Amino acid sequence: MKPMTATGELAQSDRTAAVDPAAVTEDGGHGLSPASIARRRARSHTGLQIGCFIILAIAIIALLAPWLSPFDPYAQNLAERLLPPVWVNGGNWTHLLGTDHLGRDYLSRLLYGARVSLGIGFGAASIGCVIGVALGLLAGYFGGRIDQVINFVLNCKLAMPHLLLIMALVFVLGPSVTVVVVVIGMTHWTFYLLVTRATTLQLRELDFVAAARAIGCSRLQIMLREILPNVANQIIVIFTLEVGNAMLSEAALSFLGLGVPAPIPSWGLMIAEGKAAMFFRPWLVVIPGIALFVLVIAINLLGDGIRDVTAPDRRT
Amino acid sequence: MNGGTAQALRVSGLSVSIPLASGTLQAVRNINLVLRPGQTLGVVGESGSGKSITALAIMKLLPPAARRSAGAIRLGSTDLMAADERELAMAVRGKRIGMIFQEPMTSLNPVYTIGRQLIETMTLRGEVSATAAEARAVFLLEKVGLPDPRSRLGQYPHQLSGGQRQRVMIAMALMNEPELLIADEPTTALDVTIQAQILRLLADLQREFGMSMILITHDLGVVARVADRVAVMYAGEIVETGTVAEVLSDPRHPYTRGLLACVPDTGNGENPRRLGSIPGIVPSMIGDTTGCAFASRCPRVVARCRVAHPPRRDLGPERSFLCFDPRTTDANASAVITDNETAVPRIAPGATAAADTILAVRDVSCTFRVRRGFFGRPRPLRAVDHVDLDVRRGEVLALVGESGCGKTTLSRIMLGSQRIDSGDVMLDGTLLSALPDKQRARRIQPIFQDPYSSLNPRRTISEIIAQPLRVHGIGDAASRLAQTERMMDLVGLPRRLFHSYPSQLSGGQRQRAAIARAIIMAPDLLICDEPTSALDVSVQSQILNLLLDLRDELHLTYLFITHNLSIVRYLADRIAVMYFGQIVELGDKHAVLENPRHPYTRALLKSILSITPGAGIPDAGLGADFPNPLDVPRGCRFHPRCPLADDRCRNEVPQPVWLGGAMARCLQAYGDEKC
Repeated sequence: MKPMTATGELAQSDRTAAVDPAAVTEDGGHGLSPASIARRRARSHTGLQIGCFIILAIAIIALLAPWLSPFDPYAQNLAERLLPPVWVNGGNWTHLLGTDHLGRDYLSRLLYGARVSLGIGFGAASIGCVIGVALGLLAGYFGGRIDQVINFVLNCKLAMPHLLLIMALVFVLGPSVTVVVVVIGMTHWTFYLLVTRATTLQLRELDFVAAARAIGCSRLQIMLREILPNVANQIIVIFTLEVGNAMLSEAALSFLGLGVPAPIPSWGLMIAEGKAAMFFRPWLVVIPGIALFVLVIAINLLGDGIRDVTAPDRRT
Repeated sequence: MNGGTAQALRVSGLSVSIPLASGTLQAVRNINLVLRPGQTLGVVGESGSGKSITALAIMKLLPPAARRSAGAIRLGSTDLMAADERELAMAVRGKRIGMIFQEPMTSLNPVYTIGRQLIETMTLRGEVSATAAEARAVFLLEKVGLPDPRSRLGQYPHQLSGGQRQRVMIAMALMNEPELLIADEPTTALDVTIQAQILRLLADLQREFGMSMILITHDLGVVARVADRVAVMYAGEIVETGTVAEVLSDPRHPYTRGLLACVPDTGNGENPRRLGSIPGIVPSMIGDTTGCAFASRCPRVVARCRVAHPPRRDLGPERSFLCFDPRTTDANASAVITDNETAVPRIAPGATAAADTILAVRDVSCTFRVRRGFFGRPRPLRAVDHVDLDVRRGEVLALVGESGCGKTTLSRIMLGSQRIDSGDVMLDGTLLSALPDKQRARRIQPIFQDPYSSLNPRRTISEIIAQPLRVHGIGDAASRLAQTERMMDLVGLPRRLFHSYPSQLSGGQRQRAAIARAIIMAPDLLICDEPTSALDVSVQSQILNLLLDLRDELHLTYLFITHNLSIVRYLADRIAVMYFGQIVELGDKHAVLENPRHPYTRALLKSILSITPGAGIPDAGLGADFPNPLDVPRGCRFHPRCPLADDRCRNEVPQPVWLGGAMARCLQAYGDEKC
């Protein structure tokens, strides 16, 4: 085939050339692949790095808790109950972060608690994400009857008192960490659904969806390969919010006695248990509170970073 | 400068710079403008050349980060540089300078009545009573040609058509009797028929009220017909200026020449040459730049152009240009920027009369149900009404009509993505609806109007182009890669864009990628729905040339939907004119263009604005705007707008008549006399 002549916009003055001057030399004239651009951007994205570092650190601590913690988190010692942390008057170096109302070592409980809290946060947010995004895609893409049915389900869900539902489920299934994850996940998908549905409604009218249909893509292919990547940005943001939300929900549930069953340490449960003594022994709430706060911030930094790094147009 | 003559507006040494993350963008560079009372200045240039920023800078309506500097901006005797924000808001914007924007659909507030919006422009300064303002509003609505103006005051924008809204916008700009009217692409979003009406209206009103006007447009035809003087802008500079007749008939700057060469010839007869084009895009002037901004795209570039900024040369008191090497018209053949195939006239293999039919539309109807309000009874909207149309192998069949006539619905029917109520669509003798999606996809592919929405923003260009192969499971990874690269070469996309995302490409490059995706499976028929109407004229010509080259090379057939008749003349073999869901005229290009039978076709042809300086704005003779598609007129559907309509047309439904190889659906069809 002879080379074409109408190669109009070959020359100079192209924005992509300005973005990556090295692009032509590396990679056989194709420019940088999306993966290598993402790696480059990740290397210069401080927020992403900080978020990544904190989450990795917490995850490692959670994994290594049995070796790191000085005491058994379940071991009670009523003689040493409510010891303050080392930097407060009356604290001692044996119990760095003090002890709780049953005399259990607070540092050990915090380290073990990271396991439960991370698991609940990511597990519940993922369950909610799958439910909400799937329903949102279906409602937005098909519209009509399917949309009406899903909206009805959503309205029922919004109208139903959460606690009642959760209490019923926990009562039937019995309290355990798995049940808490599933129950929180099952009740936290409204944001995903609303955002996915609204974005899908806009996207399905665009020509690239019509083009995909003209190519012969199936509906599932269009939803998963054409629409979903364009909703990913918003989903990541909601996911990071929901991880924090789920961990806080767990705290609320634990406070009501519906969450993680009592002896198992979790940050939420620790806050709940410390609440009664909040004004007299604030560290009982403050220490797990700070841990939760740092984790949620790190997750948000990570989410924003992932969004920036994978965005097709470079917004720095 | 010209001390004795009155000046409505004088701008000297205007520069605008916008700080960006990547450097400072020199959006406007040292511009001088003089506008006399009652004169119209046309400002032309591609998108990104700084036209709109110039207009905004005059009124100090720039984005907050932008910095403006100028020797002087004088409106009459007022110094606009010295005026503070309050003075500008109270006495200048909307009062002495009126402005009309491009998009009539979004420039009116949808929650207020047009009466309120009109009256507010006068009363908000507290100088005029509401009654006086209302009287003025009624007067102006009548002037802009809206029937029954008093009742219009209570209407909301959504109750008006696009053309009507643009009339309201014009009335609004005129409420305070401005001495200067700035119209920024006032007709770009409108149909050709409406465009002519609006332009004529603007010219009439300008004469009547003695206003000066700055008309910003990318359409040289509009400038040629409306403006007295023209300023050609490129990369923030005025590269050539003068009277319209001088600049358009004797262009000196190669950019002006390039723009003129890109416009399809609208004269009758065979199109003798390929369209010219200007390679590349307007460079963004970020940071310090040396030399002539056009050097990288200029066919006559010499070493000096790249190092030194060309001086302004004066040919007369108000005629100047910026170029080192201004050749006059005698060198036109070599000066016009074209592809290197210029010399070879396009050999159109076209469709011979005996060519076989690839796609046959037989008596097809498609009806939508439109429900007004929640409890309203659904009413049928017949978008396509008993249409017969054959697409012959190897031809370019143009489908022409105003927006709302059903041409896009018809194209979607032919693409198989729109259900039909009755009739058959046959692809090579088999029913299109009986074909599995994937088989159909290998034969028919679409190219859409808006290259900004037709590519998935989250996929790279190579993924987008290779998508059909992947979906159909054709070849392995290596062969797909090779095929993708071949397609990119074929449509003229540089390989370094392989991993780029659509947002990093210009409009023309995106449209090339969309074309590459459409042809990668070697389909027989491409359905192009206004593929160039979102592009600059210079890019439009590149895409049109590319489409024609691809047709010759890959033996494609095109259904080309457009409202732009000058493209049709360049591209098409046969033409189908659509009105209100029906094909009203169908025939060979020469038959339809040279001797149109249907009065609607004549009106469309008359609405074309060819580059004829001083020819004035044609009167298409169409009575009103495109009617509400829910209210089908009795008898001939065209009769309310038809200049020939009589009682028969009002009562009798015309049947297709064949006259000399062309079909027309008209009771009064023109005979053989030339148009």
